[in-house]
Amino acid sequence: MSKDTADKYVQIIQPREKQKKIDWQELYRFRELFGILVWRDIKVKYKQTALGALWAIIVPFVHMLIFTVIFGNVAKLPTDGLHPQLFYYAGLLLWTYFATAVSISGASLVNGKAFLTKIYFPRLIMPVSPTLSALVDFTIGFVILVAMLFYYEQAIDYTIIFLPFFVAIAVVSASGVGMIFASLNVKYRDVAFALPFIIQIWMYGTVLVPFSKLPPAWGDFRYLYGLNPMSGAVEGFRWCLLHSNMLTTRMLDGKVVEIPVDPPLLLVTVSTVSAAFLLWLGIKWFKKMESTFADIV
Amino acid sequence: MSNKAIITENLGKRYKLGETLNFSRTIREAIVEFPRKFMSEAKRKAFEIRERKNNPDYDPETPPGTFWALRHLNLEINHSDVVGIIGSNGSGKSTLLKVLSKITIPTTGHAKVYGRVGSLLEVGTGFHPDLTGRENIFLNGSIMGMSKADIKMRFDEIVAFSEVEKFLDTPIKRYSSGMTVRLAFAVAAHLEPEILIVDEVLAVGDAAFQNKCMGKMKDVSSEGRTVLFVSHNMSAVRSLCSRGILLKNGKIVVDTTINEAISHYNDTLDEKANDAQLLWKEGEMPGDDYVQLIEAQLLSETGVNKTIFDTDEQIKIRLKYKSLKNNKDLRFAVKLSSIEGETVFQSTDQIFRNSENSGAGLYTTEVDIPNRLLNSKHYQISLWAGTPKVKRHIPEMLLFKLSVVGKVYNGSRLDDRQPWPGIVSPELKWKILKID
Repeated sequence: MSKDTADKYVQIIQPREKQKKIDWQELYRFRELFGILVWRDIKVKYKQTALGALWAIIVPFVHMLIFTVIFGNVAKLPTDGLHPQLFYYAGLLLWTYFATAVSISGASLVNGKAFLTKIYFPRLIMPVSPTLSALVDFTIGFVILVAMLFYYEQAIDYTIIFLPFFVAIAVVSASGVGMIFASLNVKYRDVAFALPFIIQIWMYGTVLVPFSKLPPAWGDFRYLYGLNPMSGAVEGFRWCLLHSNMLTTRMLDGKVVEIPVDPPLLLVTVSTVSAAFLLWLGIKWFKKMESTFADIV
Repeated sequence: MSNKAIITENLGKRYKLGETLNFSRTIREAIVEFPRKFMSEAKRKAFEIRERKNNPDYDPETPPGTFWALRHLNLEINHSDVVGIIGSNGSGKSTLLKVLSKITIPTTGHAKVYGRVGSLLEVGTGFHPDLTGRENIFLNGSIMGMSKADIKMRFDEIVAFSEVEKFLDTPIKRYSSGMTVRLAFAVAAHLEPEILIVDEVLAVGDAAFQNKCMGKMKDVSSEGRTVLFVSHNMSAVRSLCSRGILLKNGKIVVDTTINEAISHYNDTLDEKANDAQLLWKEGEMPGDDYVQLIEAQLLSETGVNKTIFDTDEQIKIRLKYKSLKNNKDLRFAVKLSSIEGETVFQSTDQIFRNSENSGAGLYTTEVDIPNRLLNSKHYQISLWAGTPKVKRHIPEMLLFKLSVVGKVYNGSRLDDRQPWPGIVSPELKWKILKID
């Protein structure tokens, strides 16, 4: 071998105290593996299923039907003046992405036990790659959303260009939350039982109640709603797709006019900060636990 | 730039025993440990001294419920060394490999590794049953640290080595286990790191494929790469490695040539070593007024009592006796027989006895059974002594039962697992001539 390569790859292996930082260089070297793991997840996801990728549509769509009937028709919960079908499907689509990403990510380390104990690569790849592969389902479901927009004769507005931003909030939150649960799961298998339950409750807290229907008396405290990063993501997601139909009344030159609602700026800001914080916390937590994974998984 | 590939200093790895989640213990430990965190250095010393008085085994670095899988390991490995790491189960071999491949972190000390490390602790890590052979080559290859370009470049070689060309586009869940393993090893064999760490992965596939793997491993090590190789298959270790490190309880016992390390290992292996030394008390010694047997030992080349020998080891029999008369015609005879009682041979020391070594006094007489003679099976050794035409001094008595293990030198390239026929299996020289 050439001595240059050896010089280039000097590694120091030492106890935990001194190695908590992310090694970006190393992550960059393993970018192909990251890509391949994402590709693998996508490739094997619907193997040996009869309906295949239809499942990416069925899950949010059936959820939407149930929500529309129970919360829309029976309980008559407000839906920001939108068709309940559109309101719920848009929310559930983004939520389903988040829920799928978090549950796969949360189980990634335990399912990848062979990786942890038999081979080295930056472990961070394991909980993060599912948050990208789950985007495929999201994209398929999104096609149906677009079809629904046409069906309900909903104009697509310029605001759609902000859509990637709201999806990004969901990706960032899913990564952060996924990392926390994945590392907890290594030590406490309770996570396997708690996680589906948490996700279920979290869904009701996110998808059902639009920000506009929080009691105005709460004033600025209403923006704490955005601490749940997914509430800002879902709110923004609905806004950027359905903006032209979300109307509000306002006095203009002595007349009452209906104008499209403003973007939920403050709420989204709170959620963005919250998502970034979750990611930071996730990485920090993950790096802290990382060195023990192979020994206790 | 030094010529070093791996340097470890005081490397240690401590594991917890038992359940990871034992709340009552965790809490108890926390209560005991907590005040200590606030102690000054002096107080801590005093505390430790007090503890040690109560419990002579007290070791502040080894709290109850923990053990050191590796401890105080200082190791230097040069580039292009091919090192066999041997030791019984639990000696720390695998832990060492895991630490060096960054799978687990050490508790103390540090290691410096110069060069890219490829570790092969398992073949086929990450194989997905639903993916095809082709897809799995890429998946597994990148998990092992190969770049996509590397894999593409070696793809044909990998496929040819694996012998599964026809099934490349079949999901590997339809493969036989042999095919899967062949594919897995084929990928692994084409890793090209500067330092290769291999743990007991050659025990895969049928004999022919194993042989192919061994050949590949030999190529790798002769290319001047650094290889760390762990295996319980001593003949594989012996044929691959030049340097041997014997570990026991997480520490290095010897670090020397592979042959010496293996014979040390064989020495420590034998739990019945006591049976390899017979000592008689005054008055109970076998014999008569001519000669009395004091001690009989079965020894390795290195002089250790043992009853389990490698086929590549000499077996030494040493007898200590008291001669009471000047008797040049005395003969001690040892008889080696199969455990079923069939005599393999019998040999005496008579012609080696002359006027110088036959007077009254204390003597030892010893003989070596050559290596590469016996088959891999159980034998027994018995002894008798007499003077022809005069008297038999010691009637035939069974001394030792011994086992010979390891590769049989039968001329086959394969290391056959099945018992090889024959009471003995000597290494013979063949000559093959082309006559037409």
